[in-house]
Amino acid sequence: MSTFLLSAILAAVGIVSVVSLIGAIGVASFVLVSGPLAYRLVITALLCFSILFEIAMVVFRSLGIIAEGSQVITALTLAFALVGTLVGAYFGVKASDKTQGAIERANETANRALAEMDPEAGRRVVRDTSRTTA
Amino acid sequence: MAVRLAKWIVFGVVLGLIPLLTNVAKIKILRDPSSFGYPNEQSLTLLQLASYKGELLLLAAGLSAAGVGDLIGSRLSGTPGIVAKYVICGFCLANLMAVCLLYPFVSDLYQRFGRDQIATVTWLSVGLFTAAVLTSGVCVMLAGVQPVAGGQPVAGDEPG
Repeated sequence: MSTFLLSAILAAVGIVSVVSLIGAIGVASFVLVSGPLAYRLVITALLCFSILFEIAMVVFRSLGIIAEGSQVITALTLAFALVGTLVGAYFGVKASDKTQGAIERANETANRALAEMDPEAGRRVVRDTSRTTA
Repeated sequence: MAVRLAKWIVFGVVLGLIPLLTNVAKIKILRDPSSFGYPNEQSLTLLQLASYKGELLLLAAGLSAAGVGDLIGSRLSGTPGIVAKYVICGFCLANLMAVCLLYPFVSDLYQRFGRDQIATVTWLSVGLFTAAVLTSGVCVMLAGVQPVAGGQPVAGDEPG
């Protein structure tokens, strides 16, 4: 049995075990966390990323790849950047949803108000509005 | 779901680990080394003793296979989270295949292992066992999600 083949098998087994572990945690968190889809996705991504980061740090440390403080700081900076991106994306999506909802509600209120008004006054409001927005 | 998971942890995982722990205790307390094994077994840690011959891999294979069987045995169509069920089933099978790939080499070569090889096999075994526990735990959990007669599915224990 060549050393290369054995090393390849060991590496493949290690990768499969890590992927299965993170996948199981991801599926469990996605199923168990209740709430909107975006929220569940972000929680799952944060959880999976944190565990992957921990495993990578432990493995790299034991292999001697990460030996200096500056390398740890670089890895942590990347991790914080990714966490910040995920959280920022979630709040961005949430704010966009809120804005969309507010616009729809305002439109509905305006339409209902127009429907209650005198037809002539309603036409005048619509005409003035289209003139100012044009 | 929690009761089902607790039963599985106690009777599937913890009780399954007892033979390994008994063997480790035999070696450590009675100072009675195995007939075929690492020459200086007393110098190994508990985790290494429990895993360097591949016993933990066998337990992981059993757990993964049971998890897949539990999920496939439950009703798949018409239940919620069908995609999650297929995904976790895939992870479980991948884990099982990884164990099947590693075990023949470990069982064949463990008598010639040095300290480094024992450490590698230990970490891989622990990783595969942890992955097997998690994947099959999620399988067991999702297998308990059943549709009810009214059409609205619920997550709960199966009757009995």
